Amino acid sequence: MSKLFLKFKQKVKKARILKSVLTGLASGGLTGGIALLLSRLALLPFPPIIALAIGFGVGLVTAILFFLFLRTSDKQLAESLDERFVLQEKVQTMIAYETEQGELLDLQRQSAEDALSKISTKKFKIKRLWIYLTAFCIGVTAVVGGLLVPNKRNQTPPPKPFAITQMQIAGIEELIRYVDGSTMEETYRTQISDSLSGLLADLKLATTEPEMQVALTEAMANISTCTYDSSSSAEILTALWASEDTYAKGFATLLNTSTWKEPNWGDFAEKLTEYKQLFRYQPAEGEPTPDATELVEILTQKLDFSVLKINVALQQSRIAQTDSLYITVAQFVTQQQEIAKNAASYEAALASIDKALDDASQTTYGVISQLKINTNVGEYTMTKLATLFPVPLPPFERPDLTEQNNQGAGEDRPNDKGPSDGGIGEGATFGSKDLVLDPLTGNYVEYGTLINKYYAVMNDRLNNGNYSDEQKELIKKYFSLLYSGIEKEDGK
Amino acid sequence: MEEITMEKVSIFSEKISKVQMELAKDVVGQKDIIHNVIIAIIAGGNVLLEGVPGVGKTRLVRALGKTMSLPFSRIQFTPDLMPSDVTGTNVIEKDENGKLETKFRPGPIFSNLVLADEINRATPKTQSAMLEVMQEHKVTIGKSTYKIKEPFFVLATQNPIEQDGTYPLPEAQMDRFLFKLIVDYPTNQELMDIVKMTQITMAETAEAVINGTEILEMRTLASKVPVCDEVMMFAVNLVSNTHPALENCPASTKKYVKYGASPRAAQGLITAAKIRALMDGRYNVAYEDIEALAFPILRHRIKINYAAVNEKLSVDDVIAKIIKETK
Repeated sequence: MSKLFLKFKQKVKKARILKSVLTGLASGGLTGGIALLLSRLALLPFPPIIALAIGFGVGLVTAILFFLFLRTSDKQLAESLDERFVLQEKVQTMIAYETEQGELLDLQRQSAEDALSKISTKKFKIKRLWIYLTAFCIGVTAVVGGLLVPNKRNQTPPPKPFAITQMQIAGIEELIRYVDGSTMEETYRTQISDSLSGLLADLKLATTEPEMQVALTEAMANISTCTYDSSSSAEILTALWASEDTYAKGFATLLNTSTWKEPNWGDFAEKLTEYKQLFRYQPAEGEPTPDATELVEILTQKLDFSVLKINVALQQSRIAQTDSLYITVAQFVTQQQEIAKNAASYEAALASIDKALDDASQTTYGVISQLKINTNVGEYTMTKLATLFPVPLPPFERPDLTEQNNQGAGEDRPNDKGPSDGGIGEGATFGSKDLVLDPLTGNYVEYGTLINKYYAVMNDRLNNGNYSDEQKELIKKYFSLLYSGIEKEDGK
Repeated sequence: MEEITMEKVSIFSEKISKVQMELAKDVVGQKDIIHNVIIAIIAGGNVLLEGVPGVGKTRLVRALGKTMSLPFSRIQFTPDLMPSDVTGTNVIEKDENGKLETKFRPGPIFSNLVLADEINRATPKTQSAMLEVMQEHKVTIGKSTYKIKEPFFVLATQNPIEQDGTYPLPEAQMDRFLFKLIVDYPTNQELMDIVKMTQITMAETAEAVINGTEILEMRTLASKVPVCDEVMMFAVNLVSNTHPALENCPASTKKYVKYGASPRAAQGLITAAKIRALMDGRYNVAYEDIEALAFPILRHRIKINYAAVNEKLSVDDVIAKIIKETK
């Protein structure tokens, strides 16, 4: 191929690269500039550096595509040269016949070369270069414009103003009165009450939402700490359950029934009976019945093992030995130990166990009732605060034993939280935290609390009223449905 | 295959220049006509010269015959001219022994350069007698076919006025003419030169500078001139664009053309363009060759319609429009 033609080809290639680069810079600059502008005005969800990266990507792709699009074949270049310099198709013919030989063709090539030699490559200017330069300038302007726009993304918005409302003041004051008037243990009650008073004072001074958030978060944290410090039942229950011993877990089930649920003595009694059954020997099918001495021995082993496991669990719970529940459980264990030592006969030992359990359940009731009141007051306070102010309610601490309950002795799981049929009592039904108006007192109380009151009233009326058995059954079914509704709401 | 040498290319240019010089002695002006007639002769094509009486058509052909030192015959076409008057006929003659025999007596067509003067005055029957000889360069009389010596050219003339008693050439015959050249009236200066020249002598003074063999060699040389595909495609498109029936033909064709040129036009365009390029000192065909030759090659091959006539457009105007739209 003619050297002169190759020179022009090289020139065209350079022009093609220049055009592609300019087009890439123009499109990349324009895209990047617009994206940068929108990003700095916070109208796009990504930072300016991403906007610039997008522009770079678009520019690169455009440049490559344009470079491919501008590909010029030898034929096209020859045509262009002939047309631009009026070479009477000499170059086109030369390229078309470049592989063929002949004197006339040699003459033709010579004439084409002569024609090309008269043209300087400098005359072969880039077509419409001004368009590419203009586009490039627009792209650069877009990027510069984008960079000059103040970055609103980094500007932190002024904090929203806050002023406590009269309703919120009244709400906190009522909450303080509620806490003060509650039967929560005094130490914790004073702490929560002081926290609420401090919160009220802080909120009155607070002028911005962040200040409000800080005060509320601090108060919530204090109340939460007091609430769960005031109840040792969760730790003891968890430790008992974690022991994976049938007797310890049975005891945990019993405690769970009365601690985290409404103190439901009907349910408690059922669990107690079940727990008592654990100590009774159940011969396997085809197994010969052991004699009296063997039975005593088996029971003694069971008791010793149970004592050992519960003691270990108590140690692992890391609860102070002065804790009321700790003392109660420890006492029951001691009684078991005594029974095991002094077991004269199998029946006598079982009777002693039953008595010890009955006694322990009486003592336990008093202890866990107080612990429950402590928890309820704290959790109610936090719930009420969360409804008064736009702050998230901290998660209530509950013993989560579901992963370990596959070896549980009882039918109920320790963390079963719904009340069983027939339970009667005061206080909140565990699980339901919706506040509803109590028509008896005029205060807002948890739905669970109210439904228990209704249940007690219903039982009283049914026992003392003149109702047919059919009516009684229907009313009881209705209340059962209400309880099952609470269970469903609680996500069970 | 005959080798193309630089020497032959030089001879080509030299001979053409000499022919042009000799013709200029007898024909004043008409440079384009002379140029195109030379192209047609080298291409081996027939030429139809159209012009008013007295513009030098016949003189040009006669001078050409002298310049080329080729046997020249002239046929004056008249309504009573018979085909045998053109082609020749079989006659019964006695031989040396007094025995009667049939003998073919060739007509004036058996020459290298034939001037068919006022060809449109002959009847279609006589005009048709020219068809075979013009295209195939042979004459069939009865069962015998007689070949005509190469090179062979028919240069016909016709008068655009005085249409009474004339027979327009049929399209089939028109297509056998490579070029139709319009011989214009001379300018005042040219007319003065003509008058001066003819005061000295009416006879042609041109001398023979080229012979038949050389013409055939020039034809061979010209056929080797390269044509790139783009230029050839332009020629093909130009011819096909004269057909109004084609779907993608130019708007001018659809509007002004009744029917278009035959494939012979495309063949003729490329053949003539090669010669024109060589005569121009080029070794390749350019678009300008095709454009320049489109007029003499297409003007007698396409038929314009009434819309063109109504808008007072000539065939050449329509061709110019088609060229513009084909580019």
